[in-house]
Amino acid sequence: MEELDAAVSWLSTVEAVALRWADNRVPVRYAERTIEEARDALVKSGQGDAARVTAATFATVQRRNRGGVAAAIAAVHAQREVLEARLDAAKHSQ
Amino acid sequence: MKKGLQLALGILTAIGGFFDIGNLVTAAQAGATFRFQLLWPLLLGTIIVIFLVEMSGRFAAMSGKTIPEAVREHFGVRFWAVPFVVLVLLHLLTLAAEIGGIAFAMQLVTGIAFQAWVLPIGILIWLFLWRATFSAIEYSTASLGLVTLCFVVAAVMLHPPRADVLSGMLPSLPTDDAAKYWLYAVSIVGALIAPYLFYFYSSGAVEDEWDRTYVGVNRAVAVMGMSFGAVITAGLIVAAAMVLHPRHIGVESINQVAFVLTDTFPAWGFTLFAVSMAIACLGAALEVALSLAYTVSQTFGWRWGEDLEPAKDARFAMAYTCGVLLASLVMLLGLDPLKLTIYTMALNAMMLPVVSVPFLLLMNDGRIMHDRRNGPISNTAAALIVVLSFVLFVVSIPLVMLGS
Repeated sequence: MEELDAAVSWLSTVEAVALRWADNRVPVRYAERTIEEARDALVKSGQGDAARVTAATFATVQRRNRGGVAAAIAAVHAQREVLEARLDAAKHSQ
Repeated sequence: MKKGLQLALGILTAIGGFFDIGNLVTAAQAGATFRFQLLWPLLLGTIIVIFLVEMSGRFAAMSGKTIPEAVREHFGVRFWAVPFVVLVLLHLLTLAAEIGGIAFAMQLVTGIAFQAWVLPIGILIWLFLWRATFSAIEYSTASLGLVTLCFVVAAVMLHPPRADVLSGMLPSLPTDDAAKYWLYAVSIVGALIAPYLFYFYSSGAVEDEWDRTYVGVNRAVAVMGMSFGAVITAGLIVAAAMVLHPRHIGVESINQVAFVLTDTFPAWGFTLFAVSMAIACLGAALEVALSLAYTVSQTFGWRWGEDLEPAKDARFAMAYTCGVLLASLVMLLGLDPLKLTIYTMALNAMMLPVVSVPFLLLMNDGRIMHDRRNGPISNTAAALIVVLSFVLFVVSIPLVMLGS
């Protein structure tokens, strides 16, 4: 459950940071570094799908593709909802 | 007039000196994970630190001595040996965490990895200590530290629910993740009562040649300065609770906090966060390095004083030089600044009995304090501090293990 919790937190961070990068609120280097950190944490915790959408967001930011960031964020958001549902189920089963 | 100016500058210093990497990390984690529920350890820690800072200033004003000097004189070198070693270790870890904080802020601004900044920052801190006087260090970093008021502005502009904020100031039990809750609670208190704060304060009072006429100024500085400092920390807890908690963002990395001001200040919130962090950590790093040099010099009876030329108190200068060098090397080992900070703050809480009990005994010694020794209120507070510090000591170790 702790790992699911951390994965939701990292996916949420990726959404928030990518959105703010698209809005010019945070610098690109910071966005890259944070999303990369999220991807590494997700890979380490064995969250393959979450790591994949995070890697796609990282690639979008790395290409400076502001237009494509909305789709990347939507994929991250969808993955986060999946993990949140799993987390809720785990909490209720306890 | 002179005392009025010192009062204003003292409050400014207290505000600037209060907020550091420890407060920043623990406040962000508390707000992000437990919303407003951990405002009460901040309130409790602030009351404790007001009493400790007031006592350390009063002690210096009445005795003309600093705490290490007096403890060594009254209890003997053997008694002081253990607290001294603990204090040196705590100072070094705290200094490393502050250097890590400045380096991380530089990484946020420039994009260059924080490890690359550690040595240049160590050199900058050393140069500052080598060249500047005590007053220059005290007032420049304190004035710049006012930038951290941006957290209070953000907290107000985010319109937090008042009832929830107020209820967070009352102690409550965790609804889930009890180990993390108590670890954060202990770390918040540990970040506030870092020994360097009152050791630095008492040495500063001796450097500024306080006498018994400064007892009132000291009380006002302790109460107002620490309270304002706590408001800044509370501002960050509230901002994190409003921005990070609804998004289920827990703080496992400082990167996860760095955008906390961008909802309130879209264009410059990110830079403001990095600058606040850098200045708060720089001010604290200078204070910790000086506090380390004061503690070492006063323990060994060396000549000390930041206002003296380094050639005139060479061993004092050597103490802060070695401290900055060792702390920089600790950060160069590749430690995570956030993890180092959280464990150092828990260690601060753990070690409170070792450093506070001898000092509190001296505060009741009529031969030193004369008519200004602790009264019933201060002694009640002192008793509570001792009890609380033993509780923190007992619970800290399992909490650090469970919380990690």
